[in-house]
Amino acid sequence: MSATWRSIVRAALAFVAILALDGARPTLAAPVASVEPATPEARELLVMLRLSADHYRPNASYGGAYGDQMTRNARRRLAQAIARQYGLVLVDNGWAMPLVGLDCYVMRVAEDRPVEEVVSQVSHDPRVAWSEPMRLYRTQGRYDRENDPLFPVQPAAQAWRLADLHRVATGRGVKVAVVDSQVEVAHPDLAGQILIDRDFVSDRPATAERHGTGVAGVIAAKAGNGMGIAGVAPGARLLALRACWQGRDSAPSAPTVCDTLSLAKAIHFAVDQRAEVINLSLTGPPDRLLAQLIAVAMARGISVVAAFDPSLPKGGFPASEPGVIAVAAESLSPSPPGVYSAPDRDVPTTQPGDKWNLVNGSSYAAAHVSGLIALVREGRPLGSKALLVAAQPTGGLVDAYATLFQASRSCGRPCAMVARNESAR
Amino acid sequence: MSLQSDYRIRGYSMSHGQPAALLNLSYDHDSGVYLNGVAIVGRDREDSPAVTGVVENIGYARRLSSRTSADVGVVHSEYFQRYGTTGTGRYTEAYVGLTSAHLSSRLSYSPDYFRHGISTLYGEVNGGWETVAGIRLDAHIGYLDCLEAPRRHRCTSQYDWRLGLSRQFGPLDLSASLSDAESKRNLFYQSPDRAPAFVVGASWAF
Repeated sequence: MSATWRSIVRAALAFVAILALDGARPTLAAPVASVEPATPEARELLVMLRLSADHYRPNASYGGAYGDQMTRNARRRLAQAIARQYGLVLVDNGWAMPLVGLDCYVMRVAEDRPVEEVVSQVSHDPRVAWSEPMRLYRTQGRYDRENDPLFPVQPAAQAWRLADLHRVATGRGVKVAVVDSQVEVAHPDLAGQILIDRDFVSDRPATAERHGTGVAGVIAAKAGNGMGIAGVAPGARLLALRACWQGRDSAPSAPTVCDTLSLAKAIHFAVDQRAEVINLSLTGPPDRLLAQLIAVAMARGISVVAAFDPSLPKGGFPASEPGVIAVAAESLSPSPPGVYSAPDRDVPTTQPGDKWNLVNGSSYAAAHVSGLIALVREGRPLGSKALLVAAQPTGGLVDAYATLFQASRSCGRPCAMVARNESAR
Repeated sequence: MSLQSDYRIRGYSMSHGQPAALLNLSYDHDSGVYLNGVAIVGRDREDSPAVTGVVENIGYARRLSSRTSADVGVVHSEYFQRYGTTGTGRYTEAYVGLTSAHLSSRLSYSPDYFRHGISTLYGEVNGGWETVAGIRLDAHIGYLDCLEAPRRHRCTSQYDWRLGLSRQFGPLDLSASLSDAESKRNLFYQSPDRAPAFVVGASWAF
């Protein structure tokens, strides 16, 4: 080895050692305030800065490079300047969302100032794309009893003839994003069904949570494994995206909530990962950022399914968004026009701690429909339409069998089987 | 702003193997148009700091999807010989580039690459990946194709490569790289004979 090479190798090793030693320490960054638990009274707002497309920059790195570091720093400085100017506390270091060309910063408003007023001021700043208050969303599930034994019959097994559906399709390979609280990925009825498990909630430890685990089970619990339940689409693979968190109270009635930013991060990730179905078993106030991300998802042929809450205007957001498949509880009769309904009462499903339990609510009705869409999408390219067949042309009780039959008309042997079963009835 | 133990492009030193400081200004407009300017500061014949090169760039970038962006632009580079006062090496290139999450590629055409009448096409692929402990690994491979040259110049093609590590410490970015080129001599611009070069640098974004 020549002297030149030896000196190069020595210098390179020394450099790597310096970097690795530093790896144990946290990276220096702009001061970040601690995050208080978000509540409906949270005094935070989202400030959207424009995100330019990545491009070539002549610089010291071998004459030039593609990379966002320079603009990332510039946006962070801009966010700091905006926070200073409007008397806000910068809470995080930004979250780039290239899908919608935005970099999103969380800032906190002082107690003595109305959040809406600050939002209005910041929104008019030409450096800002827009600003909005951090909003909270609630899941739409209730729990009947704690530790009850598994109810022997799933509603979908009868009403949707699950066993027949699974002879045609199981949702094999279809990616369904469950944007919810933490799914228990090691649950015996879910183990192996989770493709990706990701946490987008800041400063709240991720332990298995009831709502997310329950929704995941309805959609894709394993079938034929001799335990628990069968998901509507046991062949589907889940993206378990934690954007919501369970209240600290361990009581079954403790609410599960999400905020704008955690939902935005999770939806952005789901679109980026080419999920085919995004399940949003939650409702809340309309939101521009989330609406844009959902629009991008639908423009890419992703089915977005949301729970319908009759107590909120238009069923609450995101069910109210055009193109979103709004699903109400079957027990809500009749469904408003444009709203589908699916089983929601006494649904046995997976729960944390390797348990199963009965759940209620439109959250689980939405999960049923997400599973059904996964069945329809099996073997079809991303972007193909997944039309639901329901009691009325504009919605109502979903006919799962007819939905899958309609989708399978050109599918050959499975269709013939369905047709035979149909004629036998 | 950056400090480099050697300022190298396409396998060859543009600072005569000496340390260089670079001042970089960048502007991105919402429309996608962007401007960049770089001043390279080295040492002159009296060993005093002096501007030894400038780079100007204008381009337009557009996001094609969440993962990919495309850009087109023109970059003009001018390097002053260490002991001279006039621009002795300059070229203008038009380029088109494509970038995704981890990879970028760029194709650049110059009608007068360092010498009048030498037209070249340079293709490059760059990759960048996050590894452990916040360390980023960068890789580059490029190929310079000489399309045409006057008789008095050799028209030859050559490849170059670079491997680098970098890590960010807040606004400070520390980097180290190893680079080399196929030919021992830069056939287009007078620079020290090439050898595998280990370069360390620090960049401060403000």
